[in-house]
Order: sequence, then C-alpha cells, then structure tokens
Amino acid sequence: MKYLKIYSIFFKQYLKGLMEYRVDFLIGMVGFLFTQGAGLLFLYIIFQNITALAGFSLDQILLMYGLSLIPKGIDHLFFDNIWLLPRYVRQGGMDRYMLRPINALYVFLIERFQPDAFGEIILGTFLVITTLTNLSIPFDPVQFIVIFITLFIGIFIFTGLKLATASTSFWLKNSYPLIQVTYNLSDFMKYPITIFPKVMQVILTYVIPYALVSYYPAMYLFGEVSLIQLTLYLVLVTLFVIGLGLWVWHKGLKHYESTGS
Amino acid sequence: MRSKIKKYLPFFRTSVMNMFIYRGTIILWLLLDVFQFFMMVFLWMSVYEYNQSIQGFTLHEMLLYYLVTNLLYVFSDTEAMYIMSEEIREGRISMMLIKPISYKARLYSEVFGRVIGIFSLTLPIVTITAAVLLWAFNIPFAVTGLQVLLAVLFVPLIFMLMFEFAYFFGTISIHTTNVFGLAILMNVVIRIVSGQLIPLALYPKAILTVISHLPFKYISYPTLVMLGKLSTTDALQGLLILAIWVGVFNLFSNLIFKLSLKKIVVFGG
Amino acid sequence: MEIIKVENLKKEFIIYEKEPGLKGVIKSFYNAKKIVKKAVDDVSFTIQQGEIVGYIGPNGAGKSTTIKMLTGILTPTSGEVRVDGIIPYQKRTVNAKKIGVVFGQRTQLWWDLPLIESFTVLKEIYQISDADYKERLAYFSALFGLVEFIKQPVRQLSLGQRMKADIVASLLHNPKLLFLDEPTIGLDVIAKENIRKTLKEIHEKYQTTIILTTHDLADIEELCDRIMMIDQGKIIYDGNLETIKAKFGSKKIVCFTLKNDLELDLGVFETLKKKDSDLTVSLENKALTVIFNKLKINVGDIIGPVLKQTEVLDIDISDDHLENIIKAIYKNGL
Repeated sequence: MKYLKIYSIFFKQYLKGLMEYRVDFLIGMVGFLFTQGAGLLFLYIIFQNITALAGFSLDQILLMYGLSLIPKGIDHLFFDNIWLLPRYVRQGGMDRYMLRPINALYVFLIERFQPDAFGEIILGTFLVITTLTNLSIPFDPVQFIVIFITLFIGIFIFTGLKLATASTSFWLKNSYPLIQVTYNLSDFMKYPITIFPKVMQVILTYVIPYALVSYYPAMYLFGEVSLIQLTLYLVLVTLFVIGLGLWVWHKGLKHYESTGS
Repeated sequence: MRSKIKKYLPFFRTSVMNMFIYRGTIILWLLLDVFQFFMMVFLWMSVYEYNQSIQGFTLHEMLLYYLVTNLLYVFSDTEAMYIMSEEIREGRISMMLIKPISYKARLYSEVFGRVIGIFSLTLPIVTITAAVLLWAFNIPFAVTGLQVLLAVLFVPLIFMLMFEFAYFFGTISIHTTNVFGLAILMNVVIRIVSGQLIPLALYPKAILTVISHLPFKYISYPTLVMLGKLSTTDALQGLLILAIWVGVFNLFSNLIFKLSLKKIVVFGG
Repeated sequence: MEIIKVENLKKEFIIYEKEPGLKGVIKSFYNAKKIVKKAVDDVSFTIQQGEIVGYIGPNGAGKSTTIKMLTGILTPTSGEVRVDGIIPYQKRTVNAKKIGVVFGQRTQLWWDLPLIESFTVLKEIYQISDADYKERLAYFSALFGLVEFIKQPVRQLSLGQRMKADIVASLLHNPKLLFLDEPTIGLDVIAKENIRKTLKEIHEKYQTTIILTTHDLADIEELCDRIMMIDQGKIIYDGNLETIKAKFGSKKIVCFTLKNDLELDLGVFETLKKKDSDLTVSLENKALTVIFNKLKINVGDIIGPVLKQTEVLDIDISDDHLENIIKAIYKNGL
C-alpha cells in the first residue's frame, strides 16, 4: 500500500534525525522524566504520610498511572503534529495538504515524529512492571492480551480528543488552549478517579475517557471490573471519541474549503 | 539616580501593556489553573480522610498553603531565560549591547513589568477563588498585619533571586540547542526545592537537609509566614539570608555573562 | 483541446465587521454587520492545452481565489469550473493528480527531509512509475543542476535552490496543468532568468499548460503569449500580450541634454505629428524631452532635426515598459 511505503520513507528519516540530534533528544527525555518525576515524587511523599488514598495503595495508583502513560506516549510519538493544526489553519498552511492526491489528514499527521515521547512509554512500562510485581499479580496470558488490546485502542482516545479539539480551529481562531486543557486532564490519572466528584468521574469515563486507560484496566487486573464491562466501555466510548475527532476534522476541512484561509 | 531609572520606565510600561493585550489568553490560562486547583482540593480532601494533620498541616492549612503559593507563583517568573536565549539566538543581543543602556537593567524592567501586569490581571480571580474556598470549607483565616508585611517583604527578593537565576540560565543556554528542555529541567527542579510542589516540611529528613541549604526554600516563606508557621525572628532571619543570596547570585550571573559575552555576540545574523 | 473551462464563476465571502475593543466584541455577538465581499465576480474564460497564460492583477483582485477554485481547495459560490473535464472541488484527489502547483512564498516540500527523499515521497503519492521517475528526475537534474543540493534537507536550501526544487516537485508526475504563483519572487536577476529559460524548455518538451500568477511583468513578457487581467473580481482583459503592447504600449521617450537651448526651433516637431497626442515636447533648463507615438513617428525623425540645429551633450531613449502599460490600464481602464 502506498500509504505504508510513504510512511516508511518518513520514518527512516526520523530515525536518522534521532541519531543526529542525540543530545537534544536526551535533554528532552530528561526534561520530561524530571517533570513526571516531580508528579511521582509528590505521590511518594504523600504516601509517606498516609497508607491509602481512596482505599488504594501507592502501587495500585502507580499502576493506574503507568498504564495510561503507554498509550499516551505512543499517541504523542506519532500524532504530535495535531498540536500545530491551529497555526497551520491560521496561516493558510492547510492548502499544501489539500493539493495532494492523497488523504489530507494522513499526510498532515505523518509529518511529525516526536521521539521525546519515548520517555513516556518507557516510564509507563517501568511503572506497570514494577507495580505488578509489587502487588504480586500473577501473569495471566488472557489478562495480558486484554490489557494489550485496551492500551492499543486507548492510543486513539488521545488522538481522537486531540483531533476533535484541534479541529475546532477551522472555525475558532485559537483553539490551542482547548487542546491543552483536554490533554492536560490526563495528568489527573495519577490519582484514582474516585476521589473526584461524580460529575468529574462521568466526564473522565464517558466524555474525556482517560479513565478507560488507567483506572478501569487496573480495576480489571484487581478483579473489580469484569472483562465484559471493560470491553464494552472501551469499544463504545473509544469509537465515539475517534468518530468525533474524524467528524470534526472532516467538517472543519469542508468549512476551510468554503471560506479559504 | 532618578534619571537612570527613568531610562528603563518605557520598557516596564510596554511590558505591562503587553500583558493587557494578551489578557484574554492570560485569563483563560488562569481559569484553567483555578480548575486544576479545585481538582487538587479533592485530592487533599481524600488524603486527609483518615488523618487530621500531616507534618503539622491541617487540611485547611494545606489548602491555604496552595492558594497563597499559587497567588505568589507569578513572582518567581523565569521568563528572562526565554527572552535572553531568543535574543542571543537571533543576534538581537548585539544590537542591545551597543545601546547606552544596561542589558540586564532593561531585561529587569521588562520582566518586572510582565510580572506586575500578570499579577494585576490574576489578582481579582484569585481573590474570588480564595473567597469561595474559605466559604466552602468554613476556614477561619486570621492573619496579622505584621505577617502580611513580612510576607510582602519577601516578594521582591524572591523576584530578584529568580531573575538572577534565569539570567544565568539564559546566558548558558547558548551551549545547548534544546533550550526548551533545559528550561523545563530548571523549572521542575525549582518547583521541587522551593516548596511549590509540596510543603517542604513533608519531605524526608535527608532530602530536607539538602534542600534547606539552597536559597529556593525562601520562595515558600511568605506563605509560611501568613500561615503562622514561621516566627517573626525566623522570618527576619530569612529575609537577611535571602538578601545575601540575591547578592551572591547577582555577582555570579554578572560574571558568567561577562565571560560568555564574546561567544554571545557571535551568534545570529 | 480545452483544458480549463470557467463559466460565470462567482466566489463571495461573508465578512463580519467588528468594532474595535471590548464593546465591539460584545456587539458582534448579537448584531454582527455582514459584508459580502465579491472576490470573484462572474468570471468566464477557457484555456486550451499547451497555452502559457499570465494571470495578473493587483493584490486582492481575486487571483489567488480563482486559482484556489481551479485547484479544488476552494468551493465556488456559483458558476461552473471544469479542469480537464472534471469539477475540481468535487473530485479533489483526481484533479490533484493532473495538476502541479508552485507557491513562490511557501514550499510544498517537507522541510526536514533531504530533497531527494521529498521526491521519493512524491513518487509514491503520485504513483509515478520507476521508469518515468528515473527519466524525469534525470532530465530535471540536468536542467536545474540538482545534484549540487539534492541530498540536503529542504530547510538548508537557498531561495533559488528551493524554488527550483519546488518546480521540479510540481512536475515530477508530469501534470497536464501547472500553476505557478510568484515563482521568481525574491530571486536575483540571474536566477530569475534561469528559471524562465527552464520553464520555456519544459513547456516545449512536455507541452504542459501553464498558468502564471506574478507581479513581475518581465516573467510575463518572457513566458506568456496570453494574459488575463483581473481587477476587483472581474476580468478586464483577456487576450494577446502583443496586442496589449501594440494597442497601449505605443509611447517612446527621448531626452536630450543640450549645450544651450537658444537656437532650438520647436516648430520642426509640429510637422511630424498628425494628432496632438502623437507628440509632446517640453523644454526646460537645457533638457529637451520628447514623448511620441512610436507607431506613427520614427525616432530618427526626432533626433535628426535636433542634432542639426544645436549641440547635443547626451541622448536618452526609452521604451514604455509593460509595467507602465499595465499601470495605466489599471488607472484608466481600457
């Protein structure tokens, strides 16, 4: 398929660039790890003074958080260009994507590869493995596959939300704060959603469903949430979010076509 | 002396005005901060579910701590670093150095204007947030005039400390291409050692001893004074030591700047 | 063979007029004043395959709006536009395969990729066969001297190199139709000449239809046989370049610097002109300026008499440039 061929050309270049700008890349990763580290330090210090938060131990909470970092990181790795959409729309830069005989969204997305995101993926994996060990949760191949699929689908929760919020810039002048707010909400996955008021919990499960890649998968591993529940939530809500993202993009592009830049 | 300061007034004024031009964006971010603040309130409520007091802080005190810290956050602004690294990179710094004004003083005025501008925009909203918080939690807030005075005295010193710090980082930023990453590093470390992340009293003893030797702990002093956790003597002592630190930072950053001057001017163009 | 057919094309934009300041923002929420801007106002034309057409007009006249509709990235308000038989904005990707576009001010290439990789990506996007790709790349490489910079990332290229790269990129898939928007902007004289020459060669070899939008009228003079002038959304001229020059570009200017002007008898010029507008003379402070219709009067008939009568220190003869002609048309209409 030509789409894959095209991407492989870009990907090779990205890897090359990685090698060339090693120092930059390392500083970026270190910076990221420090930021995350501060958040984890915060949790750690709190747990020096308490034993449970909303009934969860530190390891359980870190498992929830670690799980969310993996899909978040993968989305960050491949779909970082979405952040630039408001700027491109404002400066009339969308034209060049529309002049190609290929899907405009695709060629827009593949332009950027953000290796800083490896930090997120590595940290997430590390947290998941350590906490699972600490909690002595036995390895179950079925569970592993379920979690794997959950996290894979979960990538597109982040993508869909970013795309939906960013695409509003086809109408609004500056959607950047909107993208930022929605995205930053995922930081609250450091804490079990049960500490927040019901309203917030509903939002984090059904509307901006970050809980589907943190709280719920963890609860599944603890045996508190059934497989059916998890799958149902995941599939329905994610499909909705992705659909929303694509729909807003599509509508936005149509609007751009009738009003120009 | 007055005429010397007059020279830099335009920079200050322009900076303040710029903040008002961007007031839409600033207020938007502020509202988001308020939202995040309330999310954290829920977190602390959960933390204090089975504990009355943590390292000497009650829930109410903890909430007040974060409220005041957030209010004063703007004064530990490090924008100077970004401005500098941009001006160095784009070669504009050479133009500045030719003019009969001190580069540092001009930068000071600009950053100060920025801080004042942002503070005046954020003050009303923070006051409302505070009122809501105090009312919702029925928090008794009693603070003496002396406490307020001491707290206020810390503010300019904190500003100067962070400015010198940012000035230093701005100077050394020429040695790296990932300024953004470096800035993140710097800001995160400050957050951790200043008490902005979490009150320093909560840190394990070992880490606390190290941190207490750094000047950044004074950033949380105004908050601690207002909460009555610092005696007047401690506060005055803190002011004195902080002032000395500011002096040290000043000399050091000036020195580094002078040494790097040659390399700085080569950039850009 | 017709490749572009535009009939009664209209594009209107609705602009909301806002009063400045906070009051304005609030007002605009409930009572926004709508202004309809007619960017393209009932435009019709046809372009045959193989033509090179210059499309000129002042800024904001509707040039880029028309082009955007032809390339399928803007939908018209009304009217019909067909490019090679299809409606561009309805079948954007099909249309995209048949056209090449060069924006002088923005590159279509990928900033961080080495130039050759950009070409490789385009090869895949446009599904160019290996044989065709090889042949065309070799042709353009020779023509533009690409080998010097083909391995560099696009962001490191000079403006001239980038422009050449963009032109090659737009032609790799051998489109029937090429849109050039300010292709020589910002380039030095030699680079401009280079690009014009190569465009002519390419046109000869591939018979590509070219639509050229530019403010540099020298581009037009060198490349186009036909020009279309648009002003305020309407086409005010569509025809031959020669015709426009002949009809409207008839003036020649001769300036003499005299040693002294006492002996000069201006009556000699009276006999030359049939109409008053054919010739105007002005004499001031030893500088004699004669503006005359070169189609009716010979320059020799002007210079001869003057040289006979008096001592001439310097003569300056100039043509009326296309630029002045166009300027005059915009000012005075046709």
